[in-house]
Amino acid sequence: MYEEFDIWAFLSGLPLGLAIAGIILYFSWRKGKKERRYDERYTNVHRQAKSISWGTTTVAILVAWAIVMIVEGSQLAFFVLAGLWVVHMVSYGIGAAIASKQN
Amino acid sequence: MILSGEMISGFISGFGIVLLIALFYFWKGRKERRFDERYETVHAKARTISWGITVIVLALMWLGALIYEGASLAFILLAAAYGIMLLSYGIAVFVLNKKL
Amino acid sequence: MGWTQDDLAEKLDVSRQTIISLEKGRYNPSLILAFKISKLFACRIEDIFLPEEE
Repeated sequence: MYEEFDIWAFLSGLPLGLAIAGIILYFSWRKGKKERRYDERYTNVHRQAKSISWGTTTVAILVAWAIVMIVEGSQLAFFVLAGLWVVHMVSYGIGAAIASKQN
Repeated sequence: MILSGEMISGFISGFGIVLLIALFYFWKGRKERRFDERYETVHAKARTISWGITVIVLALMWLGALIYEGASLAFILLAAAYGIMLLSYGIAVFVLNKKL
Repeated sequence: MGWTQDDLAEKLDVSRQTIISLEKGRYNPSLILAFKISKLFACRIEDIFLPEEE
């Protein structure tokens, strides 16, 4: 299905997408700033949301890892996901150390 | 890999050891009132930091898998994981906005 | 005092959404915000917020 997927064409479209998304984000951020949208409740909501999403991602990585192990065995994808798992966990540990000092 | 009696018993012992350690950790923590308001805040912040790092690393790996292997299994799985990550974030923000 | 939610939000440097949430009693403000509110209304925190066991 993806036989004729042109990676270089994809990568040339990428900067354009990034630029447009960046401009949209910048203007919505400026509008939000005016409305004082980024207050402590906002921080709280988004902190908790990321916290929940972190848990979901943890499960997703484990499931993806299991699929790779069953389908492909120890190939590149296996090590990529193992590396991702390590990053996910180590960054949590570092985050906990930082947050523990701050609070 | 063939499922054997030894393997299953090994799995059960490993699973049991981890379960026991976890139970002990929570039992002791509860007694010391370790899981209080500050604990919640610290760990929510930690997961937020970790979430930010994982988003970037996952996106880079996804791009790397696409360039290196093309649309292979790794690419599809990483894309799915990325989608789940962002979707769960979005849903959580929506729900919390109603609740908080 | 005849303030709209927007006025109050501006005085406290928060969003209108936060004021709505506070009025409904859903959001637990930080101590800093609670002190700001009590100062603005010239009364004590206990007069504005009631402790509630979860």
